[in-house]
Amino acid sequence: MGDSPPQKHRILMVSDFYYPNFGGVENHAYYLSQCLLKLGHKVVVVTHAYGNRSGVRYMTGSLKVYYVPWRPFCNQSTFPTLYGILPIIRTILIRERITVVHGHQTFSTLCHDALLHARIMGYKVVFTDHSLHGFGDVGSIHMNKVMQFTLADVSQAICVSHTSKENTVLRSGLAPEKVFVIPNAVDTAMFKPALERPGGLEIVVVVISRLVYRKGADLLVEVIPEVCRLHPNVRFIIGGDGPKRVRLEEMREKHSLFDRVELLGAVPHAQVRSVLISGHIFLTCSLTEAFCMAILEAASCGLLTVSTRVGGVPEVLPDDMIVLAEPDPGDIVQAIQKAIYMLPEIDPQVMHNRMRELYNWRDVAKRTEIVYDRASKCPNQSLLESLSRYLSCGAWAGKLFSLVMILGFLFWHLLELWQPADDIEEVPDVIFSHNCDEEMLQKS
Amino acid sequence: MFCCFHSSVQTSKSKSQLRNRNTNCDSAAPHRGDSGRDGRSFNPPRSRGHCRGKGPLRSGAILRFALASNECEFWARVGSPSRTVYSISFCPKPFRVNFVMYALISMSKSVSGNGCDMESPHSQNSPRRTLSLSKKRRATASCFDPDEISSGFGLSGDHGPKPSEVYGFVGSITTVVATVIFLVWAYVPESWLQSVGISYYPSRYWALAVPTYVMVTIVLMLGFYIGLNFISTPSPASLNTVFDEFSRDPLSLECTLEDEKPIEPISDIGIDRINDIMFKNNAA
Repeated sequence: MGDSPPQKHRILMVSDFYYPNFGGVENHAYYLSQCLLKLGHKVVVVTHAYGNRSGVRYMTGSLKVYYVPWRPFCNQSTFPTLYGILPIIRTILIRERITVVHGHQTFSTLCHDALLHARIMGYKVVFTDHSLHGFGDVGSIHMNKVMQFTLADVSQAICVSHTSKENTVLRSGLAPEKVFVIPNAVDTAMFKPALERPGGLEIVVVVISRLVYRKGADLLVEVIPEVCRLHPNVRFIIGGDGPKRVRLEEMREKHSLFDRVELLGAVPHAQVRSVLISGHIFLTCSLTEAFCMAILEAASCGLLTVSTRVGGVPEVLPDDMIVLAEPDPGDIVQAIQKAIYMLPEIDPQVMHNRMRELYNWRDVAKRTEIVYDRASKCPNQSLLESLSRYLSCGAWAGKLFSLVMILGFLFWHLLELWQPADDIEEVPDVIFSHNCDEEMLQKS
Repeated sequence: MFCCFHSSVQTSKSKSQLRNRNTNCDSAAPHRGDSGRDGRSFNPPRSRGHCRGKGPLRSGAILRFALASNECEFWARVGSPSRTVYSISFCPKPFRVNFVMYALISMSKSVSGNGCDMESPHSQNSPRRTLSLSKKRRATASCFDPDEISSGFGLSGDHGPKPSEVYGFVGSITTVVATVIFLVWAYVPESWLQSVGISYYPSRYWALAVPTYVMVTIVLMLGFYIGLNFISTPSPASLNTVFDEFSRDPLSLECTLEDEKPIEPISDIGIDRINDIMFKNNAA
C-alpha cells in the first residue's frame, strides 16, 4: 500500500493486567494486539503469572503471551524490585527481536520496570495511560513521582482522551507534543442492537459497572428511588458486583422496590450484550473516568446514555447520543427524565451504524501504528543525554533517579558479560496464514 | 550486587543529609515556633500524634522533604506571574517565601483531596454527602486557580477546620522540623549540645541503627520476594506450562457472510498446533 512498504514493527506489550483478569486495560491490550497482528506486525505480551497460568502461551491469532512467574503483590500488581525483572525482560527482548516496547497502565509495576529497562537497553518505548489520577492524596503524589521517573525518557505516549492527556502531561511533566490521543474502541460486531427493541410502556434503565465508590454507587443509591417515584413505568437492571452492593440491597428494601430494581451480580463480558439489549437507557454515575468503555458498548447496542460529566466522558459521544449531568443526584434524576423524553426519537440501528464509524479497533490500530512509526524515527540517545532529563525531575528525586539509571546500566552490562546477546537463541516466527484456517476446517 | 547497591545508596543519603542540615539551620527556629502555634490552634493532640509517627524515620523524612521540594519546583514551573507577585508582596524575607510556598502546597493538596476525605464519614447522611460531592467537584475543577487558592487560604481561617487541609499543612511543616531535629541529634557534637543546654536525648546509637535496620529490611524483602518467585516457577516438565484452568479452546469457525467479522474471542492455541506450524513449515 502506498509508495514505500509500511514498516513492520515487533511490539512487546507489558502490563500487570491481562487475561485471565478482566477489565478495560485487559480488553484494550487484547483487541489492539489482534488488530495489529492483522496489520502484519508481530505482538508479544508480557504479564505476570496468574495462579496456575504460568509460562508461555499462544493465543488467538498467534499472539504470544509470556506469563512471567512473578507473584502479584497488591491489586494484581507485582512488587517493585527495580532490577529484579531486568534479566527476564532482556532475554525476551532479544529472543523475540523486539523493536518497540509498549507499556499499559500507570499502576502496573511490571510496566514501569520494563519501560525503564527498555530505555536503558536503547529500545523505543511507548506508554499508554488508561486512568485519571488526582494530585492531592498520598497515593497519587507518589504515583505521579514514579511516572515522572519512568516517562522522563519515553519515546511517545498515548492517552485515551484529551482530558486524560491533560492529566498525564501535568502529572508526569511530559512534553505535550509527545502525547497522542487515541480513544478506546468497541467491537461493534459483538455489540449489536436487538432486532426489535423491548416494547411496551415499560422503560428499562441498565447499569453495568463495578459497585465501588469510584463508579458512583452512592449516587445510584439516591437516584434510583427518586426516578422510580417520578416515573412509575421505569425499571432498573443493575449488573456488576462490589462492596457497595449491600447499600443497593438496603435501598431496595427501604423503598420496597423489589419488583422494579433487579440486581444481577457479576456479569461475564460475553453476556454484557444480552443485558444491554434488554434496556432502553444506559446509566453510569462514575466520579472519575478517563474514557468510559461501557458507554461505547451501550451506544453500539443502541441505548441512549445518561452519564456524569466527569473526566473524558464529554468527549466520548455526540450530544444527541448522550445526556450529561453533574455528579449530583438531583441533576442525574433530571438527566434521566430528559432521556426518557428523548427516547421516542432514538433509532438503535442508526446509532449502531454511527458507532461503527466512530469507534473501530482497526482504526485504533492504524493510529497506534502511526505512533510506533513516530517512535521509530526518534533519534537514539546515549545514557548521558538521558541523565540530564532525569536530573531535571527534582532537587533530590532527580539525583536518585539518575543513580538508579546508572546502576541499571551497569547491571545490564554485567548481564551482557555473563550471557552475551549472541548466545541467546532467537525464536522462529509462527506464521499464521490461510493455510491454518483450511487445516482447521479439515480437522473439524 | 545488593551490597554495592546498599553502600551506594547509603553514601548518597549521607551527602543529602549534610546538605539538608546546612540548608535548614537558618529556618529552623521560625518553623518550630510557627508549627507550635498552629498545633495549638487546630486540635493539637490528634494532629501531633498523626504527624509524630512519620518524623523519626530518616528515610521517610528525607522522602517527604524531597517530595515537598519537588512540589515547590512544580508550583514554580506551573504558576503564573501573579502568584509570584502575591508571594513576594506578602513576605519580603526569603525564608518566609518558602513558608508561603509550603502553605500553598498544602492548600493545593488538601483542596483536591478534600472531597474524598469528607465523603466517607458522611456516607450515611444524604444532604451532607450531596454538599461534599458538589464541594469536591468545585475543588477539582478549580484546583489550579490562583484566586481559588487565595480565597481558600482565607476561607480556612473563616470557616471551621477542614481536616485534610490541616493535616497537609501541619504534616509538611512537621516533616521539615523533624528532619532538622534528627540531623542535629545525629551530627552535632555532644559538647555543643551541652553548651546550649540540651543535656538528655535518646542514645545516638539509634541514629545509626534505625536507618540501617530499615535499609537491611528493604534489601531482605527484595531478596525474599525474588526467592519466592523462583520457588513459584513451575518446572519445565510441569503441565501448568501448557495447560491450566483458564485455557479456552478456539471456537469453531463460523462461515457467516457478514460484511464485518467480529474480533475472535480470546482463546488458547494448543502446543501441538504451534509445533506443527513452527517446525513443519521450516522443514518444508
